[in-house]
Amino acid sequence: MDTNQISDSLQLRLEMDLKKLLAVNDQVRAVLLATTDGFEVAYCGDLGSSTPSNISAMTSSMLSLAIAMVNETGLSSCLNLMVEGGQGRAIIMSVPSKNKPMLLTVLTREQVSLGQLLLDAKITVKQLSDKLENC
Amino acid sequence: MSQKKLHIGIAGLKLSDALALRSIVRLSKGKLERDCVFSHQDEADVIIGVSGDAAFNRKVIESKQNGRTICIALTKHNEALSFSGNLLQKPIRPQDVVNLLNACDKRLSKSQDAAIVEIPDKFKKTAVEKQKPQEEPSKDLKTRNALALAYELQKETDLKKAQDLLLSLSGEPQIHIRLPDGKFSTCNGKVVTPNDGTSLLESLAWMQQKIDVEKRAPEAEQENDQWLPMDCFYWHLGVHALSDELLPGLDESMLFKLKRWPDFGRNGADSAHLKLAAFMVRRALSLAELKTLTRQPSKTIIAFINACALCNLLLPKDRTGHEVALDLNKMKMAGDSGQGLAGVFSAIRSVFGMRA
Amino acid sequence: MAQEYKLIFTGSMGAGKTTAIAAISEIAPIKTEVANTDRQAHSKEQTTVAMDYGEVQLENGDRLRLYGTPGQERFRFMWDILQQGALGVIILVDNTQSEPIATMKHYVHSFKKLVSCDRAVVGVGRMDENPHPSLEDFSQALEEEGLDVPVFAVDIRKGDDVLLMLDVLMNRIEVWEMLNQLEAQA
Repeated sequence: MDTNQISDSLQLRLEMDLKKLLAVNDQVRAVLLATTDGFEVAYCGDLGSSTPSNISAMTSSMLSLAIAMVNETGLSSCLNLMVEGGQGRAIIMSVPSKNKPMLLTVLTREQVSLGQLLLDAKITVKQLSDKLENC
Repeated sequence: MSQKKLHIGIAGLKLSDALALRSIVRLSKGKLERDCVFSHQDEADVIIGVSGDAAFNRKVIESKQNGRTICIALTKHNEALSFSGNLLQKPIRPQDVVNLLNACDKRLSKSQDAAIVEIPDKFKKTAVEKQKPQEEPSKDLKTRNALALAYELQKETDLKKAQDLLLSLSGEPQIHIRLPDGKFSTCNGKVVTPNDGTSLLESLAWMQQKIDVEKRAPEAEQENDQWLPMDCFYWHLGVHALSDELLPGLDESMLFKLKRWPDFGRNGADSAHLKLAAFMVRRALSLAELKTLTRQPSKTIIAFINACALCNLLLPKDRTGHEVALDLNKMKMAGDSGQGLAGVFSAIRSVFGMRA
Repeated sequence: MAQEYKLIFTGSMGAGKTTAIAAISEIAPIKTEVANTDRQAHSKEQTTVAMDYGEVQLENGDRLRLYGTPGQERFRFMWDILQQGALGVIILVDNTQSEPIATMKHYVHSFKKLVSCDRAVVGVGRMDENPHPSLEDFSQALEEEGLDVPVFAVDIRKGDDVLLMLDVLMNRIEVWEMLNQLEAQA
């Protein structure tokens, strides 16, 4: 990824938004922000045995396939994608921005209140999006 | 509806046009007088192609001679063409395709019926006798001259280093060979067209002059001039003109294996050559084994081996190779049962008009 | 019952995978391209992040599905997913990019399961712009590693060249099956 695209200060501020989500919702295990083409931008929390680069790449692939499906089926736009595993969920959300659109991945613990989680995650998306728009 | 299918071949079309035609034919099944199937050009009743494409032009000439094939040129609206036959205009409309194919079917049915006429014996005899004298001598002479040319080119020290070969139609037709040190060799002879390997070699076979080594550069390249890499030239020489016997140094008792695949991307590929290459890259095989495995005639196999030899692709091996001998009596040819992959490959070849 | 067959197109970014599929697919290919944020690595504006998809309907009712993999290493997991159950793989290399032989070897090794059953073909593009390394060099590099994969100079914009690679692949698989059967019986 072009390192010139994200300044250090912007990266720190974005990371802070991720940390806030982690702090405000204890059902969140890890949060990761990636470029649409699968490069890691920032992350925090426990990724287990995986690496941020792997998750970033997979996030990109999965959301792009979801977007392709949405286009094919006329669902208008893909807002988020959820994978439900035996021990938690992975929720992928688009972070809209005119110049620097990104992807947010939220990894949850096994027991999670989905409604609250989605609400918190959407607030984080808004915060991230505002920063990316104004940079 | 007639029982026999109408075979359609394509020549020089963009793949998107070819695929569009296939879809239209498939979807128009109920409107066509005869079931249609896409085939190789040589098996086609109707050829749809692009005027100006070498393969299509060849077919136009053949159809005028044999009257058994109908050629249709795909053209853009208002495009000026030298072709005066059937036209199919773009954008391709299903009804136009249906109308044209039905018209072709009608015409072909009429000419087939007309052909079933009893030819009196006296005329038959004359036709056969007339044919004979023309064939044999030209073929022998062509092969001998082509072989002689191949040897001359191979053995001349400078020419072994030749990079490529220019066919020049400017002024007196000539063949120039470019050498790495900036020198040129010039060879005088008749050259029909630089774009068709077959025509080049037929005319090369008639060349009488020896190759002169000259220090001057050829004339400035004209519009029809085209530099051919030497191995491209050798490839065409082998496959088109050297089918009667193996080159000296090669023997029918040998086993033949290829170092690598021939450059089909540049030289073009015949389905027979693909089969031969697939076997010969995998293991060393005799002529007889190749004939049984590929079901190709000896001439095709010999020409292929010679072309590979000229292009330095061949590893001739004697019979002391380590590979296990094959019992070809136990062989079940792929495609014999139509099962498994043989079936799907046949279907893929059919959809893209490839020859099996 | 109609059968589905899978053909994979792989290779580095910009080698022509999407173009190759578009050249032979009956449907407009489904792409998963997004903006390329690493223009230093490659100047292309867009990059494939999941796969390209095309298909060809066969006359017996079967279907040939065409999959293009993403080119970059970070999407390697997609290569593993896509090659499962594939009929064969066509590896595309751009001879104007840096280290094309190393690139080719990388993809050949990444698809070694298919390569080991003679189900792979390599197409080298843009050799007219950059003739070195030559086809001989590519073949030699493979031979040194004991790998047998046909390599051709191709122009991926030409459907005929894509079909050539497909035809070679089919011939190779047919020969592999036939010779294996005969050698086993010997």
